[in-house]
Amino acid sequence: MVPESHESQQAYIWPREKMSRFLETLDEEGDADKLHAVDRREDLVEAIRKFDPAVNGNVDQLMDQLSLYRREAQRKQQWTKESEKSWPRRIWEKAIGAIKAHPYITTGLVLGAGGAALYYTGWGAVLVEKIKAWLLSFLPQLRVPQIPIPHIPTPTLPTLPTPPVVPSLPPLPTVPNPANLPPLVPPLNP
Amino acid sequence: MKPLYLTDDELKVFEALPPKLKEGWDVESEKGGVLETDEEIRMRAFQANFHRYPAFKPFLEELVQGAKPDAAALAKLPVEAVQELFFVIGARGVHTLIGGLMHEVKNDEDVSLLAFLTQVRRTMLSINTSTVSSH
Repeated sequence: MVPESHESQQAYIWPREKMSRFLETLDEEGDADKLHAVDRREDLVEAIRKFDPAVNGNVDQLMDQLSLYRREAQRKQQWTKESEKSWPRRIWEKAIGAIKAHPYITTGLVLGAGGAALYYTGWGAVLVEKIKAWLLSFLPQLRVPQIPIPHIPTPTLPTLPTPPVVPSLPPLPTVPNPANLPPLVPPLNP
Repeated sequence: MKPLYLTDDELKVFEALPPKLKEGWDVESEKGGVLETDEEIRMRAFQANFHRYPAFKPFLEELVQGAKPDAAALAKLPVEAVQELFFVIGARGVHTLIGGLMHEVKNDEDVSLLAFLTQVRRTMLSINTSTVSSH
């Protein structure tokens, strides 16, 4: 049984193929910097609306997701390259063989990734509960320590300079009510 | 031989291992880096191509139905699928696996696996750090 979808908790996102296609279009048009350049935000909004007129009020969320999608795709590309360069196939096979001796690792690896993948199918909630239950059953015997890993905070961009204050203009003179104005032409004396 | 990259706390656990297991290994300090956010992990899962690996789907479905994780099933997956699994759990996930494995090390093969996982974590942290969010 598939549990209720978590769609309401998820950020608005296009299907994967559509995300890729849109980003490819930006690349082909040499417009990839639209994703990051603050001054090109309006151009990006326009491109999104042109690509998918049904996007309506979800543009802001979608822009964040597109940026995230692009970054993680780049990281994945680097990871694939690095993992092939750093560890020959036989090392991977040896590692997989060694992992078999450690059910905890299989559990963490497969359920971690699988659970994350199923998040998008609505099955995530079921697996999250299972992962918790399994981890709790493993924890007492493994005494998994809470080892803090040093975390280098993400550098924040410098604050943009405050724009100069526009001097306030003096109040406009009050225009007299035309009804109270003296007549331009004095009445003719009969 | 590539070294083990251990955090200060991990190093303490490693130092307590029998000398025979530590023999021949170089240990370098894991200085840390940028860990993945929840959103980044979810995006990796969103992008994952698990459907390309026929062995993966029934395995997950069995888990959802309540089956115990079967370590042998992992061996049925191609190397590319395992590389993808590692990418999805990220340095955060690998860090947790290392934390568990540290207390299970019993032979040279386990130390080799530990070294491998610390190298995977190092590589992932390095990739994350070189492509941090501009938000």
